[in-house]
Amino acid sequence: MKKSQDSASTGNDRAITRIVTNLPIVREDAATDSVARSYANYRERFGRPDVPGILKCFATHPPLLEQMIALASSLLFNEGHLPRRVKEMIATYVSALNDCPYCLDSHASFLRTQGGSDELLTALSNGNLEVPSISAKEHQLLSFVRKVTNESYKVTPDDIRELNDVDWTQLQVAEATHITALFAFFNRVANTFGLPSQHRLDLDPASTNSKEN
Amino acid sequence: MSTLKVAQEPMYLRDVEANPKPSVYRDLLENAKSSGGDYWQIWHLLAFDPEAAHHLAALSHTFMHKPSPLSSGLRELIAAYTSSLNNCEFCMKAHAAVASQLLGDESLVWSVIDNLETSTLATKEKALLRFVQKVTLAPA
Repeated sequence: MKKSQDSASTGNDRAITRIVTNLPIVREDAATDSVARSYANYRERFGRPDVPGILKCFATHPPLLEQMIALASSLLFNEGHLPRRVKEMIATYVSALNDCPYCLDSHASFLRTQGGSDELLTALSNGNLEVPSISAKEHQLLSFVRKVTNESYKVTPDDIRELNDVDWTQLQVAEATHITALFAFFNRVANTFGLPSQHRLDLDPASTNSKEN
Repeated sequence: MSTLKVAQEPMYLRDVEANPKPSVYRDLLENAKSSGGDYWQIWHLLAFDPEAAHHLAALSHTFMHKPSPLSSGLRELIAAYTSSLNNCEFCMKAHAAVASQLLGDESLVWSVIDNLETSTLATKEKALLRFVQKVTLAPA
């Protein structure tokens, strides 16, 4: 687990602009031109007072910013083949496996708004799937998500068949794979730039990942 | 540069392969099939969800081809090296081929994939790829 750089439990993204990151990010008060417009569009569209830290990482390469917002909107922040709740379960679990405190806190919070219980949030944050609030069907999908995260090159047609057998359609498996891979990306960007958890939730997970599935 | 010559095995996700939505990717697939040509099976994934694919294609174009502080050749080398760390033969071979073309040195590219430390890559680029390795690998 990487070290946390902030000491104050401030609950909003404004704190991000004051912490020292490993790499420079584009603060809201320093944004110009297309980045400033993207930030304004984001605040309006998502009804949030602050731009999340992860977008400030992407804003270092301005064309990337709009594209990331568009990609996340079309893949993650919508009802797709998978319901929002399952998408956020995947996002939370993958962020725990990749030891990304920033994304973990952020997406566990989204999962809570989708009706996720304390038990579910705590379990996923600790990489634990053995709780009553995770159904057998969800367990099967999240085990697959773990395999995609840790050793995608070992995925076989049998893995897909086992998911089909418990009624996950192939299009749902495809979407779960896209979201898992999206968080491989987000987690590495947040950790490498050095975004600390915003502590929206009082989660303090231990380091969870292991290559043993 | 030779085109990809792989046996076109069915994908694991048959329903994805069988259900392309109207899009430029479906057109590409149909054209390739009707002319008997090889094609990249990743087009099936793009045709499965054209809206997300559109953003993804724009994103990868920005990353890989737009002006940046890193040369296009070095970016392709990063893609090939990361793909080798992730055991993804498809992406590794595709980006190794492009990196070889852009850098004009195929043996350099494969020496990096084989062993970064003993490769003939310049010290500065080697340091960057060591960082790439750290960003890529899963937590211990």
